[in-house]
Amino acid sequence: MRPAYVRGVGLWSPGHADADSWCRGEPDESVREPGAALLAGPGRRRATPLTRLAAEAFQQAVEAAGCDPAAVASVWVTAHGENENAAAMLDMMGRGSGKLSPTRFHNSVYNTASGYVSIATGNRGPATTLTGGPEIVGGALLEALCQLEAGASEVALVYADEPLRPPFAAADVQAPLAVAFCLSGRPTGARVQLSDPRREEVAAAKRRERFGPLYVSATLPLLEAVVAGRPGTIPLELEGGGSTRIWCVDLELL
Amino acid sequence: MSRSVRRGYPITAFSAVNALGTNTREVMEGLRRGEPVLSPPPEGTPLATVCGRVPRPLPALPDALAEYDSWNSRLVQQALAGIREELAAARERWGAGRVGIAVGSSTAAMDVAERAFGQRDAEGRLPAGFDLLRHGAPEGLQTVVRALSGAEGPAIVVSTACSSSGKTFGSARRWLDAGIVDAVLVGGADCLCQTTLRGFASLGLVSEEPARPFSAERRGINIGEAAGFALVERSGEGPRLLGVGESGDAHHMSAPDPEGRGARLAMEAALRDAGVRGADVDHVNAHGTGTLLNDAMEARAIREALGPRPSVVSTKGYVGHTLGAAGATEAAFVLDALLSGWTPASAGAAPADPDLPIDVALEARSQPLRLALSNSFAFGGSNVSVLFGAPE
Repeated sequence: MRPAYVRGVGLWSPGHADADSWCRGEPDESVREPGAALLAGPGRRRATPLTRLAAEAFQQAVEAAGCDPAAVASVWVTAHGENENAAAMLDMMGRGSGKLSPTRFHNSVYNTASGYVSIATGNRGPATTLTGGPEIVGGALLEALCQLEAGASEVALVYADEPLRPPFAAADVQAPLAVAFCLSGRPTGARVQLSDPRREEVAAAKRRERFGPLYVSATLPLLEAVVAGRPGTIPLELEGGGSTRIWCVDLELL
Repeated sequence: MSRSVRRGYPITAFSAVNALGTNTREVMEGLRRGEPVLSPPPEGTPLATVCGRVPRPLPALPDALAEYDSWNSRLVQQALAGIREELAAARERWGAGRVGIAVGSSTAAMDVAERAFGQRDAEGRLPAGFDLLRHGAPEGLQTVVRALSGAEGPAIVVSTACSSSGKTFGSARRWLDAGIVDAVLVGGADCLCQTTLRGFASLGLVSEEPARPFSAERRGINIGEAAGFALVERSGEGPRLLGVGESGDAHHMSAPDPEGRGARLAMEAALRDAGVRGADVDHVNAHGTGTLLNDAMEARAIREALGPRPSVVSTKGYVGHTLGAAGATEAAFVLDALLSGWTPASAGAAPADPDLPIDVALEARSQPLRLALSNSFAFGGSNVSVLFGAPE
């Protein structure tokens, strides 16, 4: 399989408005809500927090790459989906008439973010939404690389998750996180290639502390290496993940 | 036309478990009988409708997977059992690490989460042992499929609502083209749950009577449950996966573009991928939900992409709309048609809506089939068309 090239990155998490802010490691407490400027008008009002989070990272990566958001193919990843909405619906069904709201229902699908973004940008191209256990972090990069191989000129790969909320999990300090990479088959910038699974030690205290077991935080070492221009072999897995299939990325700089 | 026609990849095995039966043979025999099998919804459903319910209890998961046991997991286990020998042969032939997994689901075992919410304690805590990632989220599906199939290659779960399992054929095709695997287990599962029953009811789309897609007398959809899998290999015998087209509507979260532009783009992309012309397609298993808007826009898109020739059916009047499992379920019907030359009547379609510019099959037909297309469309405007060909 041919390598791909990172043309742009995006990141949003409370305290960090972009990838550079994250890599500097100095949270700005005034950064509380993702801008997600591309979700204009009614779409923006109806969008879920997870959708705004994902849309913001998508927009940053695509703009940094100079890509047309109406034309770029996209792969969206969420391990936990719209779990806040799911909890609200489960609660609604146990009260009163037990009826659901139509907006809550259509905002509960895992492809909610890709749906809102395609509507906002007028993009009728292919988009998919992937989920699964910890392996999905590497599995989604594989899917994006295969889309490039199949002829897509650019693919936006967007990882976004919110921590599980009560009652699905105990309330704690974990933050939501979205990380996006705009990938191209044209040689430029940082080259990524999936390599045979093998384990490497990575210093990851920072992400563990902030994001706990949120799978998508396994993308942060790759993002940090791209931003810092630091080549190497980077496993796409959290410590102790124990998945069947661990992908590593070989990162080289052209 | 200078397009190269692709040979595609053989589908060496497929299976279906749904309202028509608990194994593929029973399902296909039921389809041929064409008798009504839709039944009342689960107890506690505050809704007058009928559903496509799997007709009898299924065995629990083995002890090692007991914590993943759920009705959805049992559907998965039952459907995988139908292709167990072919899966073993593929692992043997290619190596387990070269057999990938791309499966789809929309709500997975959400029924378990619904029951857990009903059992919250005074502090609002869910019962001990409930874990959303095992039950209610598709992560559990991936774990169960991995364990039961023995496939050790790359794995993803596609979750794009009602196009989920249809889109797994696209991933399989790309992975095989890129050379990273030699076989891919595709398909998916979704079981009945209150979330989808009440959710579609909130949109005013659920019919009290069995759904009648493409009929002048249609009243909306029925929800069904199903699991279905297919094994796509680099080489071997069987009907062929020729092309997959994916597109977006860019129109509305829960209603299709009335002009059918996204649907047409998906079908045209599948034809382009396969290197064939629309006029060569013999048969379409339509998304065909039985809503006015879907039927009108899909018929228009079929006519524009394929012309007037193909025989069009919706099988949702037999098994209901099986949501994330619809693509896999309807692929099984299409693959059976390519092997047998027999296609069912579009259930409940008579009298056909006279405004639809397509050939809706009001009776079962026997005809040699070379090319057949299966459509799945979803919330978020997520569309997929999968083109299959007769065995070589």
